[in-house]
Amino acid sequence: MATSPQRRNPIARLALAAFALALAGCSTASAGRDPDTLVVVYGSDANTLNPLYANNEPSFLFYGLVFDGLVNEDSNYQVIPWLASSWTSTPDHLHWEIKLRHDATWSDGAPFDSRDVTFTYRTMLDPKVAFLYAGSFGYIKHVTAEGPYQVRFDLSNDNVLFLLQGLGTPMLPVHILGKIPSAQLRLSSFGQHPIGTGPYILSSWHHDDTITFVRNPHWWHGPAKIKRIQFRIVLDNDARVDAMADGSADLYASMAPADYRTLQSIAPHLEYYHVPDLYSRFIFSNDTLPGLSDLQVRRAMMYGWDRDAVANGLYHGDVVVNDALTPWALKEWHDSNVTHYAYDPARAMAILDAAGWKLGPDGVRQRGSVRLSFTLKNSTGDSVLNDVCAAFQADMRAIGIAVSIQQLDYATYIDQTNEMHYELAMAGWGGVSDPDEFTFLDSSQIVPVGNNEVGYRDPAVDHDLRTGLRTFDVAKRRALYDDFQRRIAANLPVLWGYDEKFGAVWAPRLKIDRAQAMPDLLFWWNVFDWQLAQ
Amino acid sequence: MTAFIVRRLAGAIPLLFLVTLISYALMGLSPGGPASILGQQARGLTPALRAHFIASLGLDKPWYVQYFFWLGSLLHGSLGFSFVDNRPVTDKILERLPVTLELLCLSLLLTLAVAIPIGVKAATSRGSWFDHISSAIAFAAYATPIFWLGIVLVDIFAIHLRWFPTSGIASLGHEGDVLDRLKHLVLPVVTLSIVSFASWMRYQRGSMIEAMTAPFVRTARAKGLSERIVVYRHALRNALIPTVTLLGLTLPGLVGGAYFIEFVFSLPGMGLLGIDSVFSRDYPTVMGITLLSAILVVIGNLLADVLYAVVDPRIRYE
Repeated sequence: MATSPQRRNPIARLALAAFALALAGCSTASAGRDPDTLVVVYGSDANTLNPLYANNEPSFLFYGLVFDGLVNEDSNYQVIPWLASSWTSTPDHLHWEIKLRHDATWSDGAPFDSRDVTFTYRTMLDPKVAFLYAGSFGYIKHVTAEGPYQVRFDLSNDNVLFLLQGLGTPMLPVHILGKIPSAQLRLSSFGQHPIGTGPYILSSWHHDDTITFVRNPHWWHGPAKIKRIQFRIVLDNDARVDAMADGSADLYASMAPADYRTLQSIAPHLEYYHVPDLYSRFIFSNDTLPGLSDLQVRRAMMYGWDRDAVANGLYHGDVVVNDALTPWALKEWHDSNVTHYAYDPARAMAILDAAGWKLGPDGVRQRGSVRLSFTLKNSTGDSVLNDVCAAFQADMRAIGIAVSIQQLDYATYIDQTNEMHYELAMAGWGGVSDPDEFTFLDSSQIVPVGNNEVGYRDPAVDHDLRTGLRTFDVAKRRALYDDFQRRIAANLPVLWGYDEKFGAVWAPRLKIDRAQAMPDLLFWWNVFDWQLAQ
Repeated sequence: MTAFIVRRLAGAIPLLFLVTLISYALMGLSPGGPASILGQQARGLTPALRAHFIASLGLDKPWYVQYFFWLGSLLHGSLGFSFVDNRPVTDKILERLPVTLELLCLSLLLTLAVAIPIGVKAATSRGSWFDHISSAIAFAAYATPIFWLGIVLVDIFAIHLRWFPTSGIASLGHEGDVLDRLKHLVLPVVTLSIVSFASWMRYQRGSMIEAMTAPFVRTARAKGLSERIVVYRHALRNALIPTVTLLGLTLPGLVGGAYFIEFVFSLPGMGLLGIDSVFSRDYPTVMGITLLSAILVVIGNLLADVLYAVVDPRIRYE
């Protein structure tokens, strides 16, 4: 019986098919290095470039290249005119007149004017849009066009954040998004094909691989100096380090401290930038629970926690110990005259002894029926943070407080901290260039209303935070936040930890003015001024 | 045969329904949710805004109602939109599928290329030191957790010896370089193949032993044919028939293994997308990948049955 070759060699056919598939996957043309393209390695991709639905760091970074706000923030955290050319307000700061630039256009050529501004705020505040950050703009009552290049804002209450955050929000094009019903904006393709007024235009986007921007030749500020920026999404830290070391990439920012140290040792020719970040780490303590509700216990935990060992041993000096919530990076606002908690286990034990917490036979302190034994919840994914938890556990054990560590996946961790289902929880907060912490520590913001996930109540702190949001005089405002910082350093709504440091490394051919550089996402604020040496 | 295939496919529908229902129930009942994750970053998210946001994702309804909405969307030909980036789930899966297919195909190829000759050799030298050693290695490989093996191989060959990259699918600036891509795939493919090797090798060995004792082999020997011709032309051909059916049956295991491998090696395939989606509670994407994986399992089993009939004319399905 004759047998066809196909039937005779099924495995060989399969092998051929597999190899063809492998080759098909390799069909992308080699990119090579374009001298006019800034290649940036980044650890994760954006979800969307639609500012209404952006919810992760790369999304904020990438849409920041495409969109402009009415104002911007300079390297001294000062508000500067952007799409708005000037502004005035009534003495009570409830009514603002904003004048717009006449020369700004959308990247598709349509003119930018007051209709875009009114549309942007109307859309953000429309409940059907479900804009996550709408709560930050709730005090904006009316936005009215008073001519093509003038807009009036009426506020329900004065708010010092209006200038920076209220006017800094990205403007949206009414001629594009105005045609889409509010409830359908979430699923529109605008997030994949954005039109902005900013310095760059999205050129191509291969999800989880590369996203490329070209400069906007008609940008009102004048074209950016770098023609093209390509972000390469590289999931693995080592691969990002390798790319910087072998010259495949020009910039690696927001990097892990270990990567920074590795690069310093293997590629000393690169440019290094390392400053305190706007992000702080601390431990939530649920003060509504027995034991943790005792301030003396929390004080003892602070004195018993060797944070210098964390900073120097686990982070190799890449974090800065902080005893307050306002990060060191906000130099104008950070108050150093707060209660400090230098590592002193003897003092910690003395405080506990004096408060009546006696060591039990198992080495754990107790008072009456209450034992100082807690569970510390942490979200998985950060190995150094796991070590921080373990070090904390050991430090607490030494002063007679038992801590067990529970690792949770991020979704479960968030769910439990949002509902205050924790005793202790490793946490972090920051990224904002203002000392306001209203939603975090004001008693009106206890979850589920706001972000006060520690259930903190302090009328004096409420006063500082609420008045601080309405005080435009900088000196008076500073006094309020100084008082706020001293109070929370003494009362310990959380166990203060440390500020992270922002690290960036770039190739010598990339010229960044260090005097203008800032930490965190603000690092990119003047990307249009960066240059590539030929 | 056609009737058999149609019947099997029809029978798979309730199975797929059950798989998706159970998957949705597990997701819906697990702690944490997309609204919690996305809402975490929003300062001052009032209860009213939170409610609007949750409703905009359809999460204000019980999980079983959400499931039927999802099912309705599926019947209209859509896998829905991702909660994370609002993109069609189909687009997200199709972007990732090629890497997973590459991994699966290359791994299968390597496994077959190694396991079948070793299985044949072990069968023809039954009881020898080669047979014992190869069997011991196969059992050890079978018992090795795939994620652990992947980490060990990375530690040895990528971190210490630096022969291969630790992760990813391409080096920066070498995106079109076939050799570079293959270099990235070596460790993932080898890891997946080692774990699959055992079943293939043992199956081939057993099948070969059975063939070697068959009457037609005795006849071939009686005709005075050389042992080489007896083994490779007569016994092996017949011994490969049952092995071919294993192709379909191993597909589900391979797919599951590939997901672990993609996670360990940060390969941007469907498995990594699935794991990321589980962590971010991106229900539509998780459901899309679950459905696709379940379909692969059904097809794998069907393929096994069909191949069996194709390669062995004695098998007939009524």
